[in-house]
Amino acid sequence: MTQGDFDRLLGWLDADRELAARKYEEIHASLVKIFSWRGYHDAEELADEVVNRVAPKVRELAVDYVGDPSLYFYGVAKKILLECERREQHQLPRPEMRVAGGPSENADEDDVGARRRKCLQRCLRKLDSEDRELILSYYKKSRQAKIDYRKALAEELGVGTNALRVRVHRIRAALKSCVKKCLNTDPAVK
Amino acid sequence: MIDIDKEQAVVRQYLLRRLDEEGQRHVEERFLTDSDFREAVLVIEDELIEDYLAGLLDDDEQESFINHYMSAPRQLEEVRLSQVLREHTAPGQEEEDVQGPPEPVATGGKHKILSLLLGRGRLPVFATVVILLAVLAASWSLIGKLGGDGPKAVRNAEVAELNSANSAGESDLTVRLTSSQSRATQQAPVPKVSIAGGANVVQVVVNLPRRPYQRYEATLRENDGPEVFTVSSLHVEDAGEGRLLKLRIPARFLKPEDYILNVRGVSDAGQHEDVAECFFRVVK
Repeated sequence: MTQGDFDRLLGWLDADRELAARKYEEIHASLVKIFSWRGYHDAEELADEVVNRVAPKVRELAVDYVGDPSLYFYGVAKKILLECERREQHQLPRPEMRVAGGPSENADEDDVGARRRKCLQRCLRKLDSEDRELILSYYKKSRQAKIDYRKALAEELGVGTNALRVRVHRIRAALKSCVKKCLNTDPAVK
Repeated sequence: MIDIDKEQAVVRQYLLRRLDEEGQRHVEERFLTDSDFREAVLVIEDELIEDYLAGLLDDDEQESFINHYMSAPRQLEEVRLSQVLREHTAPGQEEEDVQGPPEPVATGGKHKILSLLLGRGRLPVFATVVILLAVLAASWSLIGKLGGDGPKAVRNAEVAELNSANSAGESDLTVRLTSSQSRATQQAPVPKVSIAGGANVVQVVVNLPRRPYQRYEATLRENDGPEVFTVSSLHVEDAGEGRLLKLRIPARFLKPEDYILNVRGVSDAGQHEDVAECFFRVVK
């Protein structure tokens, strides 16, 4: 994919480049989730492949295509899924579906577990105190207690229980993202 | 705002890969085009992981969760992170780790305990014995729950991942075990498995009778001790007149202990039948 193709792709998604970039990130992240939920180990690469196939066609799509661009991406993703399934049926090697890393990864797992815990502590400290208190107390509850707690807390915060669940999810997502970044980049916990 | 509870049943089925192609397409299209729905799906996914870790899924859901949801490394990592978060928020953890050092024990209380333990007469001895017994009981209960190297759900997931069809099949040591089927009648000496320090994966090979089961599952437990893991949907190979199970186990799950490996066949009707029972001793 050339820079020109990518610029055209963003232009097709939205005239505002910032909004277009955000839309692109959303589509890519959603495709990664979909491939992963379907059990593909290389979800990231498959999502990249979708973008690589869509980008060169944008010149035509911008003229002819009607509807949400996300659905066009999805159509291409479905085609790739079919190709993957066909490859499996013919028992061709699927190097893209192998787990990255082999035994050496297992050898490091104890170490990774310890680093994960350290990163979590570090990331919890980075949260603002209100969010930290919310997530810690939320996770302490058993399932029924959580349901009751959700109701009580939602009332206290003046929001619905759905909004509260979304808020907890966002804090958790931020925490996970921080932990992943910490595991990948922070030498202090290696 | 979207009603998460209303979407929950279908989305859970999707995440457990129990929807047909049309159902999957419907969920995926909405996931891509409707941002409220997308967030609801992610909330439901978080809560599904929590329910799995809390042991709240029923048997079928748990099986689908292990065999399907956790079949991709990204999702396995999600489960591991959630597990760490759960462990971290267990009562008594976060006060030390996140919110600074714990409050010092009130002097009076501390002194009372010390004087009880170190003072004169029978009371200190009695108090010491009671405390030691309580610590022993708590440790025994904890060992029983953990069975060694971390919570069982995570071990189950790791073994399932290691034995999934997509996983690379390298092992550092292969051990062939013979089923004794009956512990009481076992006459042969217990086979010893020597695991070198650098080994990461041990492959256990067991001969099974050639009977038509839809799938196989295995449970490893310490002899007269806790379960180490259970893994389902194992694949076996046809070999001559029988079948061959190859089970890959992370070497760090195997401590110097005696173990029993139970293998069960699961019929189309979902009936479980014991097909092999192997004993072995790990020495390092």
